[in-house]
Amino acid sequence: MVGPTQRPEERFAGDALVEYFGGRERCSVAAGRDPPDLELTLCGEVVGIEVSQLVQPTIAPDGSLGSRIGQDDAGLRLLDRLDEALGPSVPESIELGVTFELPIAKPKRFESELAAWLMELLAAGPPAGEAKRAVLGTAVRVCAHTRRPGCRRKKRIWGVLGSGNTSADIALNAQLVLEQRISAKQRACAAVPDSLWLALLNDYWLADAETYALAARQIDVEHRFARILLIDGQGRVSELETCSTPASQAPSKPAPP
Amino acid sequence: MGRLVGEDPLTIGLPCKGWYDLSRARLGPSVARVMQEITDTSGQSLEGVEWEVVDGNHHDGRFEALIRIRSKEPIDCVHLALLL
Repeated sequence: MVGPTQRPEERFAGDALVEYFGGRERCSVAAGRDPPDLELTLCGEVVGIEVSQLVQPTIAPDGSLGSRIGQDDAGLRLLDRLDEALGPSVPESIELGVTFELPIAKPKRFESELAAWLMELLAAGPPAGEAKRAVLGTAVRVCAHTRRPGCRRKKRIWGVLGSGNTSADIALNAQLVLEQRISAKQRACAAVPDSLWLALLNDYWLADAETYALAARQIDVEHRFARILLIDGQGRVSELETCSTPASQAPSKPAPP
Repeated sequence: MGRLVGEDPLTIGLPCKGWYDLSRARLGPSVARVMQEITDTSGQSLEGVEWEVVDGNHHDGRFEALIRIRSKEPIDCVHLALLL
């Protein structure tokens, strides 16, 4: 079992890798020296494993990449603040679902104007159905949903967040995020002398292992990782081969348990 | 599916809007299963089908993404709810 200081994603990756390599009878995993995040002991040999997440990339007008998780988090915090401030004013019988697209150009002003509109809706009596308005140029939809009797959910205002700066091209996204993560981890681990593996947790659930396998063969990125392992949301592990993987360190199938 | 976030996880980040070309990449298993059901029912193959996320909503305690399907053959254009 990975130590308590591990981040949840590292713990998840460690557990998935132990399962993949034959279970706790054959291997174990512990916290690494950061970097690497983990140390896997397999058949008496210890290997360092750096863990990262494959997240849907956002693409700025100048072509620079960002993280969809970071963008969504900003929207989440905004909605949580609205829920905290205005949730108690929402009638007991309903919840409000707020839908809009990120990113927001002027988030503080947007939040203030959205709060003012919600207060306006609540002051007019129990909201019903759907209301739409452009808030600072961003289309916002507010839906009143009937709250089921006995519902214990605390949240009274919640949201559905879209994205205005992401691509629908799944293959392109897989290539971009794979290249970015491998490069970033290559830099982060430059000073680590030992052999390293890279474990990538797939948060971009539209792409599957086959898409990443194809993407890995299409990118050209220098790295020092002897094995790159992809882990999906169910903990399934597959291996990726990039063009720059040294032949002597090419991934091999795990030995049967 | 989808990214449920927050301690009371009712806020979701939807895939981006836009047409997804299934001939260039494979879908994650959950979405692929839904799409396979659609194509099996309609007699289409996944290769000829494109889909886009139109909107997200919340219905009876579950999130839904409204997606629109487009294909070269008779499905043409339909709306359906993809449960997230």
